[in-house]
This record gives sequence, C-alpha cells and structure tokens, in this order.
Amino acid sequence: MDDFEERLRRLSLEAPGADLDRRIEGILRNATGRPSRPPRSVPLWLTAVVGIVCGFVGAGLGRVSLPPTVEPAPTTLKIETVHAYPVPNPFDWSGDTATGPQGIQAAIVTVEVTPWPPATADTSKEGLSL
Amino acid sequence: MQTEATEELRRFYETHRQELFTYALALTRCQSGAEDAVHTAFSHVLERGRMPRDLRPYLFRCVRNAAIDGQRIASREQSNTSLFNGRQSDGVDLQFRLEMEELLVRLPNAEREVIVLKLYSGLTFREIARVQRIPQGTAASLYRRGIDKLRAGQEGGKHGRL
Repeated sequence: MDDFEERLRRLSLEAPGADLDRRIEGILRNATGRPSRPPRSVPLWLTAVVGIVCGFVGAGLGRVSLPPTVEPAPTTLKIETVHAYPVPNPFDWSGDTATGPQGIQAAIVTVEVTPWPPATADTSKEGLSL
Repeated sequence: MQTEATEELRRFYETHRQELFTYALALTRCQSGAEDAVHTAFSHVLERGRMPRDLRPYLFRCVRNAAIDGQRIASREQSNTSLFNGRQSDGVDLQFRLEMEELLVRLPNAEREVIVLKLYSGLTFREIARVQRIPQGTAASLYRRGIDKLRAGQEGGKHGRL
C-alpha cells in the first residue's frame, strides 16, 4: 500500500447510527430467546449411505427379474390395398384396348412381428425385408 | 439458533459494524438504506439457523444482496450520502476528502466497490472475490485500475479525467 492508498484509507468514515445498534441487538436477543431446532436425529452421512445401498439393491433386483413364462400371441399386421380402376365398356372394341377390360386389383400384405422376448438367434444385424 | 452462535454474531457485529456499514453505504449512498441492508443481512444469517463456514465474506455478500434488493424495491431517492465524515477533517484533509468523494462517485461501481472492500473493510482479494463472485485476479485488477484513476484524478485536479 503506497502513500496515496494509506492517505485514502485514513480518511474518517461516516459512522452508523445508534438506531442500527438497537435493531441488531433486538434481533440477536430474539434469536437467543427463540427455541432452537432439535439436532438432526439421523446423521446426513448415514442417510446418504442408505440411499446408495438401496440404489444398488434396486438395480440388482431389476437385472435378475425373470422374463414372462407365457408366450404372448404373435402380432399380425395386415395391410390391404385396393386399386380400383374405372371398368371400361366390355363391348367397346373401337379404341386401343387390346388388352381387354381391367377389373379391380387388390393386394393384401401380411407381416408377422416376433413377440417379446426375441428369439435366441441374433437377428439384430439382419435387415427387415418383405 | 444456539446461544454460542448468536454470541459469535454479536461479537462480529461489534467488531465489524463500521466496515459493514461503510460497504453498504458505498452501495446505497443512503444512510437509512445502508442500515437496512446491514440489518437484513444479520436477519438472514439468524433465520438460516446455522452459522456459515466463513462468516466474514458471507455477511458482506448478504449486505451486498440486501443493498441491491433494497434499492430495487424501494427505489429510494439518491441522497448521495458521503462515505466520509466531514466533521473530523482538518484543512488539508478536507480538500483531499472532497476530491476523493467526487472522484469515487465517478468511478464505475465495480471499481468503487472493490476499493471500499479493500481499504475500508479490510478484506483480502480472495475474500473480495468471494463476495463479488469474480475471479481473484479480476478483483485485484479492478482495485488497481480504480486506485490509478483516483490518483490521476487527484493529480489532475478538477480537470482530471476518469
């Protein structure tokens, strides 16, 4: 600290009023008279340890849980598509309709989805092909 | 709060009341606002129920928060109460005090705050950094920059630029 700082530091400061002292004394006195909170019955470290142990136990139980014994029915997804074209006049041979009249076309796609749990063979790398 | 803790708080107030008040006054520039800030800070520690690990920076931080909140809520009129007590100044100090008053007001808030905490509250740069939540190096550079501006302003007289 140089001379300038020392001179600045030595300037006399405005003092707080007596009112502040009374107010602080008042709240301190009230705090002394107020019943203090009871000490914590269970230590914080014990609470943390029990929490961690419960977490490990829960994770372990989740891992050893058995798969369902009754196999659910396979899920079947059916997609039906119908293309309807206007039926030409079967007696009209004047146009360029050498192939003859066309009827209603319908397609039904059936997809069977393997239910959970998956089969033992690793099919994860196989692509879905219809 | 337990009696020992309350007694510790009382001793702290008796020892540091001037420093806390000066800091609050530098923030609020208002006598009643500064007293409110100190009172609010102590009330907060008492309501907390347990003593903080490092009481000094914690209480200064509380004073800072209370002063800023108080100004925001009450929007007090700027009374421009000086940090310095004019009644105890002799002739030489009077001129210096008036210059410093004027120059301190013109400093940026952060620099003025660090100077007050360092010179008049006696906090270390580490404690100032904790109060203001800034790096320690920043606190030191703010102090140095502020002091340089005050010195330059004083040497340049009334025409000194900050």
